[in-house]
Amino acid sequence: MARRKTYRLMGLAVITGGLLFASCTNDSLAPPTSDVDAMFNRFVTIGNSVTAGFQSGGINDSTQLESYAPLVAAQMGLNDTTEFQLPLLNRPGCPGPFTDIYTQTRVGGGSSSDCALRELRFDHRFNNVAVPGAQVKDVVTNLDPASSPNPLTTFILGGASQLEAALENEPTFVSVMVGNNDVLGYALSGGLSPTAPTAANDFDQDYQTIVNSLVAAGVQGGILVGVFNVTNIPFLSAGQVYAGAQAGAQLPPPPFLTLLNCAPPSPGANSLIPFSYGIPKVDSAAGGANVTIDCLNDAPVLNPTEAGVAVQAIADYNAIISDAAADAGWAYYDPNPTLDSLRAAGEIPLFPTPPPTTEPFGEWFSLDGVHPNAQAHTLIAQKLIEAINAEYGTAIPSVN
Amino acid sequence: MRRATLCLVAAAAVAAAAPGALKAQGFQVNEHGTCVMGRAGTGVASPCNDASSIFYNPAGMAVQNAGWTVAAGVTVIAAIGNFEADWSAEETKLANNPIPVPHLYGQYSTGKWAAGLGVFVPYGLGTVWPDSFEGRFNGYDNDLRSIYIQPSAAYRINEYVSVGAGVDIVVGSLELTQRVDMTTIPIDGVDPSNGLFGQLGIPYHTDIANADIKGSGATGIGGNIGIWVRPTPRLEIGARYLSRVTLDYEGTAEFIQVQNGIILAPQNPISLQNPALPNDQPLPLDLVVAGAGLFDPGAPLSDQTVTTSITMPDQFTVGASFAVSPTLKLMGEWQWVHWSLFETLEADFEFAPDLLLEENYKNTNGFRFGIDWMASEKINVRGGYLHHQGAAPNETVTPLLPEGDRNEFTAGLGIRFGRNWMVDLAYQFINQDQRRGRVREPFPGDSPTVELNSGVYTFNAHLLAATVAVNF
Repeated sequence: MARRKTYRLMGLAVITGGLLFASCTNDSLAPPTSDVDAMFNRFVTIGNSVTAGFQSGGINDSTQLESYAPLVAAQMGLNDTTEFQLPLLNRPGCPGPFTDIYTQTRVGGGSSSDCALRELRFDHRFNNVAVPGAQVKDVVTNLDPASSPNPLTTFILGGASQLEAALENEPTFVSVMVGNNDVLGYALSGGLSPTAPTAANDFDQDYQTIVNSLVAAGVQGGILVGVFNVTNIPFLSAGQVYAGAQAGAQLPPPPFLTLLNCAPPSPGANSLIPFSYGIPKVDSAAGGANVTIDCLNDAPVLNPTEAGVAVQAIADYNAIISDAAADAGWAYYDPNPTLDSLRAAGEIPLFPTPPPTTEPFGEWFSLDGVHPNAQAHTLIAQKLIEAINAEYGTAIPSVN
Repeated sequence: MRRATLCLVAAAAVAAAAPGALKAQGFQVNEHGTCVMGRAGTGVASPCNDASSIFYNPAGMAVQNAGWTVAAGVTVIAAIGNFEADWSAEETKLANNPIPVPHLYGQYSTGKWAAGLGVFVPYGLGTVWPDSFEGRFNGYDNDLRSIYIQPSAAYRINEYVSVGAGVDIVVGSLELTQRVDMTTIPIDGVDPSNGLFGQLGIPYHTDIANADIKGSGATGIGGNIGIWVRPTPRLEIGARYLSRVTLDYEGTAEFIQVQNGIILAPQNPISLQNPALPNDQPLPLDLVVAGAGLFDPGAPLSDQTVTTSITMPDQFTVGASFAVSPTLKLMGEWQWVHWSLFETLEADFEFAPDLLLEENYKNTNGFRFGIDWMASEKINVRGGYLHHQGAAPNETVTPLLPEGDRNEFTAGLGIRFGRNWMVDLAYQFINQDQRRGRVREPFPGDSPTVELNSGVYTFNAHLLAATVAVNF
């Protein structure tokens, strides 16, 4: 009897010893995790050149990291190398950004057609899927005849559309900033190419497709950003500003530079002269040539009628975007009050500062006069964070 | 003549079934007999009477019943595993089917001398994943077999000591089926900008080809030596060493284009750089690949020869068995395997860039505890537990071999029929620690790091075995 008990005890000891060895050290998943709210775990940004980080006429891995998109993601507590990834472009860029717009000098000394290719990355998913130049149609598809892809479309998205690339991320939260390019080309070309902004009905259809697709995919929340009033960017200067500068002896006098219909009370006083059209004329006049700018009749100039078309298109787009946000229960941010206040405060120059200068378009715009600079991206990020926090009651910390 | 035929059948049967052996540290396989399996692999000190000591400890051959012993059996392995991705928690399940692995031994013992032959597979692996799995670029249908044919002899010096040894004639083959990632393919001939497809924006892990790499006919010679000591009537001690064997494989690599269906937008960098392609139309990437000559004879993705070399590491086992009573034995073992030999895996391709995978395996220790209780003259009841360390370091846990530390539990039953026949049954459950791993390789020239890990591998297996042995 005692021996049997001994056997049992020894057997028990062996089993106990085995169980002691049987300790498991299981590893666990490391999913993307926001420090602020689980809703932000998989944050994806759809957008245009502003979202992508295009500045000063170029884009590279430096400007991409200055975009508001990674800034907001960082404030959401997402790691910038594993939890919010960018399709980074090698330096000097694709193309390299300007270092001086007056001399057209770029980072690395290249031209606007040079591209240093994309960095090789391990992940086929990118959180910032925005493509410079993208119109609302391009977010849905790059293969439609109405689409307007460019080389960066492939460099950033491969063969996908922004919407496809975004959905592959299974996003929990999105931001969408599109629409600027649906009117920008019209405005910057003086209404020449294209001859009209994207029709509001077409814009509405594609925008609804974007939002509805994201909602159907289970996105928990988002913020839709309105279209900037592109007639307020420093790349465009009013005819009357030119006239005033000439009256103040800041521009060559006639007959070197003749301004027609640019001074009040002419209707042309409110025309908008693109930097790329007006400044070369000024330079020629300064060099002794006789040149003329007709603020009502020169094709590259955005006359008041054309400017009105642009402004109306922007208003239509923003009504569509605002309604879409309300329908989805998402946040909406209209950037124009901020843009207007900066302009009213004189922080956006009405006329580009002549060389030598490091800020020809002021402290908020990059060297191309169209795209916001790093400081402006910080401001945009802060405004988006405030709008998100207000809509969802979250506490994303402010951008420093 | 009959014995020779039996050996050939045994070798053929083991060779046919070997690929299913995904169940040990590194690509090591430990289950080579149902009796020993039932007691958690403890076979070095107290051999079973089924001639399996030819593998577990050749010295044990002379300790078994005198006369002929022939054993035949099968182990069915049902592996269950998956990879769960960090990003989406999406699971991809291992697609291995249950595999029957037969085992056969034969020996003759005078009680003083013994000789025999065993055929077994101490190293092998088989991993099958769906070909849609993101890890398909590491390998989704992989098979490695190292068949050991071991003629052996043992001599019992006296009542207390026996020694034995065998010569291992090793025949190896391997097959690796994987997808080729387009992003790392040079775009020479497609785009004069001289980069890689990935630098043009083609998404990482885009299929361009299926690669079927086969190598066979590798041979090597090794040895298996052992000693058995019984210092007291109740205590048995055994030790055994299996030498390393290096196998040099020569084979072929066959590449077939895989359609990825990607259509690039107009104005893409390929069209813009190539005057032969329209830049105002969408561009099917598959057509670009088909026209790039990548699969032409002599091109990187043409059919070609490949050579590689793999060393099956040496292993040392020592253990003891204590007879608590005439009917109850307790056994314990420690095994060391020289896995640090598996430092790199290199493949030399005729045309494609050579492959160099850093594996950096670590030596492993295994601890096994078993019980064998003779419940009656006709019934033995067995059980046990073993713990094996994982050989792969944290940065090389891949779809090819997603292994880790394992805790394994066994139960077994031995039933005697008459004086000569014995049927053994055993069950083994393998519980591997969940382990973080990767589904991607570092870029050429880079070393793997844990930062490449992007999910968790889970692996379990159920093993059922049965053996019929006869002594005459």
